[in-house]
Amino acid sequence: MRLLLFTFATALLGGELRFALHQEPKTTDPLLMADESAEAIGYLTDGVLIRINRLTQRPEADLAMSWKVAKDGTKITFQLRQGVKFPDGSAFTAEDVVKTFHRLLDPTLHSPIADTFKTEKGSVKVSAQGPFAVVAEFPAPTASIESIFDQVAIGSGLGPFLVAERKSGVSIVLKKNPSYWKKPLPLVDTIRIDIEQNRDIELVRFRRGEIHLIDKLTPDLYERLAQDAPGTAVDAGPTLDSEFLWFNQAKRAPIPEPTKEWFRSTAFRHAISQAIQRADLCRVVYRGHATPAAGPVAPSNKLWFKEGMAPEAFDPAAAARLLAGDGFRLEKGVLRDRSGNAVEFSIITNAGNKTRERMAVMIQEDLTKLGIKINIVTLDFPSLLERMTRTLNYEACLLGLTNVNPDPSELMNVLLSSASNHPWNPSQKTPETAWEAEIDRLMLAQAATADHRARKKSFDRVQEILREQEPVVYLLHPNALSAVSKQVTGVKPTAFFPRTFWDAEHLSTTPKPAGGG
Amino acid sequence: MIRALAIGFLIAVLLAALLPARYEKQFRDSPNAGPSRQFPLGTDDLGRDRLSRLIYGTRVSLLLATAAALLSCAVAAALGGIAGLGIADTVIVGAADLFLSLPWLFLLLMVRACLPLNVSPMVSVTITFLLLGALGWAAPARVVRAAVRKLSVSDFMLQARATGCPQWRLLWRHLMPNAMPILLAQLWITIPAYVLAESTLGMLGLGVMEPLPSWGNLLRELEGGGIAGHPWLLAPVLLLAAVVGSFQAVVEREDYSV
Amino acid sequence: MLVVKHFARIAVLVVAAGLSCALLVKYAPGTSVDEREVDRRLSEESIRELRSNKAQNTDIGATLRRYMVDLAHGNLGFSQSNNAPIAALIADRAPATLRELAIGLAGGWLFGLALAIPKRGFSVVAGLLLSLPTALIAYLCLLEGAKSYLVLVIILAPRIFRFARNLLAQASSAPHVEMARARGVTEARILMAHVFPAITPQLIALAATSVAMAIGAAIPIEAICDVPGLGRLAWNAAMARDLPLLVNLTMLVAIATTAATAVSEMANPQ
Repeated sequence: MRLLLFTFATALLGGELRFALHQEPKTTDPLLMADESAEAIGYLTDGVLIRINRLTQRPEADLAMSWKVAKDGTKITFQLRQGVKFPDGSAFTAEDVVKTFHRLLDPTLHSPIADTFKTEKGSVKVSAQGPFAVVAEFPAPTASIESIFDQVAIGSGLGPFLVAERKSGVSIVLKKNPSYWKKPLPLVDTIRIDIEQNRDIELVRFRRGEIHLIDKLTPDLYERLAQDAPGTAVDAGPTLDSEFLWFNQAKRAPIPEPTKEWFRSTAFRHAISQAIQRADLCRVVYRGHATPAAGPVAPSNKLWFKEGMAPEAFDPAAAARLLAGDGFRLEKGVLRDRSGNAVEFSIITNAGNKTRERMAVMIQEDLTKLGIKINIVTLDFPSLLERMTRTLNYEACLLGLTNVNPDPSELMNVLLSSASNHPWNPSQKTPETAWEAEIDRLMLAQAATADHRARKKSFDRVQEILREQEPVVYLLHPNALSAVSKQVTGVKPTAFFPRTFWDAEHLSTTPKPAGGG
Repeated sequence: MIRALAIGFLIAVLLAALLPARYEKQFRDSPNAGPSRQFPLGTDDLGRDRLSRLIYGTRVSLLLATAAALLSCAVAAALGGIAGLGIADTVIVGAADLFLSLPWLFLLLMVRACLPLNVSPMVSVTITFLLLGALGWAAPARVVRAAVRKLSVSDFMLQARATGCPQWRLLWRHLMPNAMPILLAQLWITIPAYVLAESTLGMLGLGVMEPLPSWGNLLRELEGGGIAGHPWLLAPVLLLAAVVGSFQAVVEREDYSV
Repeated sequence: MLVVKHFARIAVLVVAAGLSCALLVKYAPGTSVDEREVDRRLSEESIRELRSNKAQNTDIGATLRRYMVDLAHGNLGFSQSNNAPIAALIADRAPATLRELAIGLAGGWLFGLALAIPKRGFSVVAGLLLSLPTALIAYLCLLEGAKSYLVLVIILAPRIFRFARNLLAQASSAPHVEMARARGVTEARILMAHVFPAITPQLIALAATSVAMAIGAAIPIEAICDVPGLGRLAWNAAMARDLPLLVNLTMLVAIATTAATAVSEMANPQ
């Protein structure tokens, strides 16, 4: 009966789901996708072996019906789904999986997805065992082995939708894949994705009913929508993302010596951290849709968050004491270091991000109370990156990190002192401080084992060190704010990308009221 | 009459803009507040007094726009004048065309990214404005050139030349006084143009740096259509329109012979 | 002969614009970075590869050589940031911009000129519209659901009006026009037979200038209103430091601006 109703509803509904992406997808090659827009299209059009359910965070069968991970974490065996067909009618077999991995691991491809399958000891080997079984062998024990397969699109045309039309800079239209294996899904006939860079316009169009979903809303737009159209603005709870501030500690940075000396002082970093009112940032800038941060791992990441870590308490008196203990003194409202230099530094952040600009202004006022003068500099993203990664010509930087995967391996290329993306002192030949050496050791240790308890122990210690040393002042973890039109049914917003359309094949739209949109 | 009113209004605005204003103070317990006795125009989303920001922003925008306009008019007068007299005409007109076609938004982006980090927002905005001024000479130079060309073949110039008037005297006593009204008209037109340019830059995120207010970043608050139910947000728009409108009224009829 | 001279001038200026733009991008901060570098999944080796690719793309000499070779084969090169051939990109985006410019100019002229004929009335409205920034007009129109060409009309009409009003005022106070009026000739006939013919060259020059004006306004309008046209393409190319694309677009704008000047010079040879 239920099935009958379901089929009936499907036949009746059909319809079109509409939403917008902020940028044109940069590539159509599923193995080279690196930008969010391309990933969104890929998510809707590609089939993968294992899909991480965005709601439960558990791996689910997709093209692989089942899988088995070897005890030592070096091998995973997939049983493939039989009877799956490509749009041209040919059958999906183990050969397609092997071919995909062969191309993915080609060293000339330089795919970010491939890099997750490579370790210092070599890369994964994928081979077929009969027509419907595939084995992937890793050179070393690999942590959270299933989750990395969520990114690898097998062949093309095995997902719920197919690209039907592409207008450069305007829109992409996806149509239902008639040969999709999860019959009778997807429920909608087409998905229309507009390229809309301006978030304000996106909101205007949402209100007019021209688009059905907004995956990411800024806090101010969320508040506005919540007031104007109650019930359409959704707060799916805390994300794993974080916003933070760090100080440039690189020796070769072309910034004044005294400034470098302040930044290398742990007491100074703690004092800054204690003087920032995180609760105000969450309340005023994020309108309550954020939680103060204690470290890189959000408390909502139950599996990996170190129990008992609390955000640094706002305590300007303690901050002043710390500074005094480190030789700083306050003279006529100006903080001076041991040699009498007035403490003044700049915070760079990316231009056009209003939320971050507001945070910077609030931090500026908080630190004024310690006698520190802050200059806020907003830069367009390439200029910011050049300063961060090439010239190192900056003092402090305010940025955020989007975390998709709760696993610590996600932070590997940020926390290793040798990494180019190690924020406060990139590309170190050997770790310059003992605590960075320890973080390196612990991060490598946790990655080299599949034993969760051992990994957790190592990663807990990493979180502790980061808290003791505070090279990065973690500020807050924002909530996942989205908008869902009442014309769409079945949306279950989550805190993970893609927040609103992760199960697009199950979504349906009610026909537009006459004359609307 | 209208003209006198407009001048009076402009002077009043300028004087009001010099009132003391604590534009950066954050009242964090009352962000986005409506108008009240304490905050006549309400507060912005960080709880800063909108009226203070409007007062200080007016000072920033008006003074800097005037400086930029003076700069571009000076360059325009020099280059347009020379070209109008027939010296290096092709080169100067060519350069003007070149300037009009270059991506100056990109140039601004670049200069901003190259500025030293620890400069106060006031210095950085001054540099931005001067750059705008230095880049903005092309359009007024064309007008000056056309005017000087016309003047240099006018009857009184020919007569002066025929009576053996020396070149410098010709320029100083005959050409300059006659070209002056056109130049002044250009100045009056250019000032509002720069006020507007700064607002445009502000809306693209290239304007004055926080926490310094300017009309540009005050206007940015209108993004996202927050006006409904908050009419006081329109205060900066009205002031901007009134000030620029007054400038227009002061100029009234300018010589636009292309 | 005159035409040849103008063509030569346009060619020189377009090449100069292209070269200046290339130099500008080359020495702009951020040209050496590829945004993909911050992808945390990338290995150090892949990051090195990205960096060396980017360095090749910003080498002006090499880019210029490649560009000449491409041009000889009839294409305009490849845009890295859009991952598409530039000629195709321009062909894709030009219609939106051209439509916007055409409607915007036509509307601007219709309103501007029509309202310039009666001597009073519109000047207050025009003054007000002249006083609002391009961006703000764009934005307010947008929130009310107006299209970008309407924004362009609103921006252009008052400017055309002010230029045209002065021209008309001058022409209609000429002695022979006053004489005709005194003899009882109707205003409409005076306009058609005396005023418009007298100011035609200036109007052509104004038309040329208004085209340049409209192009200048189109970039911020498209960037703010999110029109998928050449203006937004240029803005994105600037943000991504896409050297070949930005140079091509600058040269396109230069062709339009210099051609406008040429037309205006030819209409007013004195």
